[in-house]
Amino acid sequence: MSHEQENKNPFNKENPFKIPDNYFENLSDKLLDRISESDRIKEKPIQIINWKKQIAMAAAVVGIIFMSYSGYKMFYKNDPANQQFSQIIDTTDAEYSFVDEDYIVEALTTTQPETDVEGDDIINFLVDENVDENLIADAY
Amino acid sequence: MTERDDIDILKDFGNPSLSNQAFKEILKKYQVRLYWHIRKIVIDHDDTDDILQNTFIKIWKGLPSFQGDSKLYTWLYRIATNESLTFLKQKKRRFFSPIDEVNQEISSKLESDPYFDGDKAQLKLQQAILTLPDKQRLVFNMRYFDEINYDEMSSILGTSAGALKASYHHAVKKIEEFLKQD
Repeated sequence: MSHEQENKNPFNKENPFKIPDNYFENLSDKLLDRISESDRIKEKPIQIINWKKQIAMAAAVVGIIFMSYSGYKMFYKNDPANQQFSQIIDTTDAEYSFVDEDYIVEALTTTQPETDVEGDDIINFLVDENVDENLIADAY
Repeated sequence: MTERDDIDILKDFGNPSLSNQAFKEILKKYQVRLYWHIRKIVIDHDDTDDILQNTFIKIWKGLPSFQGDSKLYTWLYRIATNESLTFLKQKKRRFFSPIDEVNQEISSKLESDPYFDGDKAQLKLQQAILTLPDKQRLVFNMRYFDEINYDEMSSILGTSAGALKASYHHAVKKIEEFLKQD
């Protein structure tokens, strides 16, 4: 062997590496599966949720609700008639909150007066109130 | 079955109904060469498998825009080379280690690798090659084992033929020095 040839192949050219059995036979199927999978993913339309639009709509609804409530507070409560009524409600709520509702209901629905009114009581009332008994006699 | 010319295969690839078949032809024609090119860079079979698949996926995606300004094989080889070098860079980044430490790690795993079937001399040769910087290792493998000429290598690696020649001769010297050690 010449010096040039020795220099051309100074080392062992034999391939020391192995591969698994049927590696190349299976490779094309594996690859084509991967390619079809990636193409399938590309074709699937990606649903893009437009968050900006959603947030804008929600903000608009909240704004409408807020403005309606503010308007109610401003116009309804400022009306004098409604103000008295609302004041009454507020006062009643404040001052009479201690009153037991059941007591009121019972008082209103009782059919028998607590005391019987006698004839002398009526006359005494008429006298106290300075009512002319002749007027009553004429009426009846 | 005789292999068809690349130009004819590429023409078929342009036809949507024939593209799958054309791609299979390219795969069958070049998978072995590309596999061994990658394997000599990254050594490990599983890593090679991953890189080879990624290479062919890139080929599939890139073929529609392949202009034919270089030979198809040159273009395929370039993709495989870039994928392999990117893999090694990422491995270095992942483990925060310099590239020669990554190569040392590969070298130390070689003896116990179930897919390494070489004797002691072949093991030492592979370990010697792994001491080279990645690009120089590429040059050495492509010239020595794949017997690719410098002009073709230049279009694959984007380096002048003269620089590649110099790199190759330095690589040979370094390997010889390593093999002389005990």
